[in-house]
Amino acid sequence: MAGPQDPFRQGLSFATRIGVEMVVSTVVGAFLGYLLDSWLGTRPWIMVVGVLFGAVAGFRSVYRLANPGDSPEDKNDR
Amino acid sequence: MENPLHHFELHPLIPIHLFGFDLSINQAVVMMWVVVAAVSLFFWTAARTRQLVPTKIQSLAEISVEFLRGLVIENMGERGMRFFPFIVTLFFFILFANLLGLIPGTYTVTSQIMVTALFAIMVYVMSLIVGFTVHGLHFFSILVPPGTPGWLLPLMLPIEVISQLARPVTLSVRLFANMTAGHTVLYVLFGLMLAGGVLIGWLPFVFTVVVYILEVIVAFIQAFIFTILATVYLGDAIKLH
Repeated sequence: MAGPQDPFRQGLSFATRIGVEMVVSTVVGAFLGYLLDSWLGTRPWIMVVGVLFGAVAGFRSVYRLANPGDSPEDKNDR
Repeated sequence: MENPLHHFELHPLIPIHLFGFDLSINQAVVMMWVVVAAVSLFFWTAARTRQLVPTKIQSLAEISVEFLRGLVIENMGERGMRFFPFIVTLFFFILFANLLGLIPGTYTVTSQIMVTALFAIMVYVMSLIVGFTVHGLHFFSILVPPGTPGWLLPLMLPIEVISQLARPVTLSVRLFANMTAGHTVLYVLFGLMLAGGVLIGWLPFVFTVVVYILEVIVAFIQAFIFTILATVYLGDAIKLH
């Protein structure tokens, strides 16, 4: 059983989580903005806002990951 | 040297076309059967001789199941135990798919985004169903983190919506990207070894071995992360803050 206690494994799992979290949040924000733009015909303005909100959401997720105890999501999965 | 992504391509072994759907049996499907058979064999061997002093495989199975049980209790509470079989199945399927995919000549099922995305969407939709069944419309308050001042609400709401929608995407992309990247690196290094010949071919070979060991660790870690996050997401829906 690969125990999560080993610092090397912990670091590796932490690293993969941070990278993916930031990129995906930004992309999801941009995609939501793109959808709203196509719907309302306001290209490209909502997408710009979406990228910003997505980036903020990504940073916030990483912040929560780096601060254990703040939310249940990061108690043991670092 | 051929395209390093070539070995991720799927080729139908038995073409089946039903009602306009392509249901062909390809390497990935065969590999999934192998994974299911391997997991079944593992637990069958473990449970065959149920002894008080466990055999090696029995104790391995017992330790890992005990460990997953602790995970479920911690993240989802006692009420989460009804999801325990699902979580164990998820963990062992992903773990065996990752590990068996590392054997040369086999196919890594988890390097297909369709497979990982299906798992992630399944977990996410399940968490939504659980949340709305347990809490009703009150479940929408998951979009408002506790202790948010009222004037921040218009700012926090879109951010929370994005982080909620990002959950299934991160879950699937992480597993898929780790597997694809690892196998591509292995393939490229091995190709370099073949191209390098005897004189300098040993250098990429050393790296191949090192990366292979790393990939075994990554196989465990990624199965583990996927399972933890599945329990966390389901636990969030059960507990709601």
